[in-house]
Amino acid sequence: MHLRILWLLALTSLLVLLRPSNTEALSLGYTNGKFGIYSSAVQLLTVNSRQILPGKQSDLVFPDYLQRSHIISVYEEKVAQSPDSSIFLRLLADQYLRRFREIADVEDVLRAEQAARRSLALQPRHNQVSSMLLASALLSQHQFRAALDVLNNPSLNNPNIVSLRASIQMELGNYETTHQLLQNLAEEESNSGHNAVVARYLELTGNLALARQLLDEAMQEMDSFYTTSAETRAWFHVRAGDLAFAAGDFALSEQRYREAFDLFPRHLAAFTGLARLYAAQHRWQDALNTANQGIELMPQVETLGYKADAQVALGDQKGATETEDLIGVVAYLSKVKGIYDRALAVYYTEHGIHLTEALQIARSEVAVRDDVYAEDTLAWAAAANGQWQEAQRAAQRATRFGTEDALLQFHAGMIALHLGNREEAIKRLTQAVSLNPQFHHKYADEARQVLANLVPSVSFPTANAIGSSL
Amino acid sequence: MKKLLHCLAWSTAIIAICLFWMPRADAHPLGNFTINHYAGVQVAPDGVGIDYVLDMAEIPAFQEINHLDTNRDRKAEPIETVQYPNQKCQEVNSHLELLINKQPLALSLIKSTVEFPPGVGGLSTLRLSCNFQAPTELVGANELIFEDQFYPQRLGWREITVAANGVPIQGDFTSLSITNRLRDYPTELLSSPLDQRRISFQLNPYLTSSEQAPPPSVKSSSRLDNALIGRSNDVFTNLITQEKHNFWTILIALAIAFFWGGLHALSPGHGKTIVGAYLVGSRSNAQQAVFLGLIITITHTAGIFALGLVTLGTSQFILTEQLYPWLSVLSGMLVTIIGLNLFISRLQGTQVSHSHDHVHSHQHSHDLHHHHNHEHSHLPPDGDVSSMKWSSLLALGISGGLLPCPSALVVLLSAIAMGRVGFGLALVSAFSLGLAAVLTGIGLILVYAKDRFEHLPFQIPRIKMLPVASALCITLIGLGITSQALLAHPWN
Repeated sequence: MHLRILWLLALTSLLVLLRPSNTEALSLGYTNGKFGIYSSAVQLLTVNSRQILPGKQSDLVFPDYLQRSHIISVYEEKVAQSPDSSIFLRLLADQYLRRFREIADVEDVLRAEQAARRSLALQPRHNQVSSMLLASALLSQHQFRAALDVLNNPSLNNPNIVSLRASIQMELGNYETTHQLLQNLAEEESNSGHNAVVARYLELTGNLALARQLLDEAMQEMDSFYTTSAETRAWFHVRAGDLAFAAGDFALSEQRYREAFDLFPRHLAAFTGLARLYAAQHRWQDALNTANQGIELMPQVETLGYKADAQVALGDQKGATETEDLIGVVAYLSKVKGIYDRALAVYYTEHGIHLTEALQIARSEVAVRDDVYAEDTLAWAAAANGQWQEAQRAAQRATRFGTEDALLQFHAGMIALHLGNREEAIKRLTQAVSLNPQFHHKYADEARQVLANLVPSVSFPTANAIGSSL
Repeated sequence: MKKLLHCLAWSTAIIAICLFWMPRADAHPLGNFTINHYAGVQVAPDGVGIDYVLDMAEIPAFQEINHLDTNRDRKAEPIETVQYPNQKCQEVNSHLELLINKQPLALSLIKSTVEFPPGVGGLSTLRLSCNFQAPTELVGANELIFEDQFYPQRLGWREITVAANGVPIQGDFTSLSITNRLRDYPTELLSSPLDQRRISFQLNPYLTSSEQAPPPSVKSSSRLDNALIGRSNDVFTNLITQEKHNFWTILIALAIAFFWGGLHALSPGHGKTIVGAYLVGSRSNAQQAVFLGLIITITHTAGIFALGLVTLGTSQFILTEQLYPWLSVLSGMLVTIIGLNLFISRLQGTQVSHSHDHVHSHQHSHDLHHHHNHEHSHLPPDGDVSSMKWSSLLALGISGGLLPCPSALVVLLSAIAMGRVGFGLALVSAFSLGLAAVLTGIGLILVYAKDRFEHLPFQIPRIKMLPVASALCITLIGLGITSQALLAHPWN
């Protein structure tokens, strides 16, 4: 009998040990193993992308961010006590990056870079995690080439690093290289992180539906682990919201952003995405409120732009002027630091102000980050400056993979129209309003108007028509 | 271990990938978006003063100036800022909380000034200074709490200092500003900004006691509010942080863990007395001693793993330290119940010993290898003995091992934190083996010692009451553990 009891106890201990095998937690050094939801991950992979998560599951949030600064202070103290410990430095770098994502304190990225560099200096070999952390810190400063250099060491060849390398190549606009890297990833290595990268690739290369499906699966997989950091889970919801917006599924998009707030209440990208969504729907008061909340946390140019648009739409011209002044200050500070922010170029171009500066910013951006969005920004800024040939070349590059982003198609269509390519213009503009009838608060109506003039006999989807059909 | 490293890398990869959608770190203006706070609390016999400074970086300063700039020249001219310091300081005041003996004390604004020092690219920053005063008699006061709730969401440096003049104070604070009142920020990179929003300290700390007045205690401000403070930090816990791993260092580490587990078994509160009391008082043999030692060890090890997971799972709701007292109470109550159970049954056993004598003698008369049936007549009936022995042994073992060693828990949590779970488990297992070896050894020594004791050529009359006494001893130990846990912890 006692042998049975011993076996029972041993098995229980074993189960307790083996259970928390999801473990982002293991790198956090601060999270938990929530039992009971682990086995659902595989099932969720086959769930329809539109299926909404059960309320109770998304209610389970692990608010690790509440303790972030405390954890960091512990590791800082440990590093102070053991300055030659590569492990503590690595853990500290990881925590700094997490806090950067949570509160966007730029100093945290610099701290993470410093800690990762020191960790690597102490342990140059068999320290892949530090290499990834250093690359992450560099890429969040948009030092893409430097980040790639860190990961280009042949000894760094695990699937996570390949995946990260693929992401950087995507940001640099090297989609063919990205494709090769992603193809090399073995099927069995697939996880939420890889799926997010693949989804991004699919999104940019004309497979929006597949990208959405993959990202939804990744999101649900992340949700199935209670141990996943709250901000990381929220990020997957934000991305799902972004893709739903791109597909014109505004109800789902709004829901995803709201879920992100439930998971992590101060998610900057969720504020920006939701403000954009409300602006596209002309829900100006909502757009203003949401933008204000985001700006209170951090005044990003894109969010400030939605605020200014909302203020204009609501008749608050004075407020809009003040917001534009603030954008000017942000722009000035960026310029002083020698930084190019393409969101600023987009804002200037869309509002017909500082057009020369917008073009300069767009060209500089392409030089360091030649992805489809940089090309699109250049195309539109060049068009606004009357540089039509440059605009056409950039628009062609921006749409060369058939990216299903209505705004890119609209820009390309309008540029084609100006250059007398009527068929191309009709094709692009039709695609834009078909992809997302409310893709932009101003340009969606403009696209329909132009199409109505070009092809009077055909009616194009409108927001109302789509809305009533849902 | 490889799998765990894979998980660590996987997690980092997800973080890295998510970073792509963050705004460019140095592109966004957050470095120019901070609002920094300094509050110097000055304690005097006739009241409390607050020297408050607000230092706004370029963007919040621009937003403030924009509201003041009536002539729209993008500058804050003196004529435009006449009212501003007073109004802003009043706004600050509405977000400060000062409590003396838990009673709120109103602060009055005495003086306010504003400056606009140049910042990045010639843009202005803003430096607001407010002097508040709360006149009150502090002779009989014993506690002061101050809290700054202004701009709670914004990033920035938050510093509070405390200085006293004529009033003895005691607490965890600093009297010197690290930043020279927000004029000179530290530049060390691997160090987070201060985030002090609230401070509390004792006033007149020795007035209420008969002790002689100690010198004013002004500790340096500790930026480490560390949960591990107060937890074990011994040779064993340090093993997990060792940097160089090779066969010999691992072997030595495991040997140290084994040895430390043995020492741990010898420290108070780990079931030795219970094991001893039970084994001495029962018709025990070497097998049972081994079993009891093993149960305690397994429970102890499982307890470490379970508590480790509970700690990770509930750390946002409850501190591990708060679980310990409850486990102590539970452990104590279990021991008490077992002790009482044993006590009652053994007491009954002594009262009906004649009939038991018979039954027992009869049984063992067929057992050629058993020569001690006359002694066993003091125990409860056989059926009761066999059923209770294993279950009570199990329960006793569990109660003995229920309270995990904090050192082992720290090792396990540290191992998880560092991604060295395999090594951590090995250390904890070696630790538990050491614990098992010592407890089992003690059990065996007691069993054999009792055996020898019973073979002595003389009889001690009171030995018949030994099982009852041992049960009583277990009960008393259980009561002791329970009452100690109940008396020593914060719920009182």
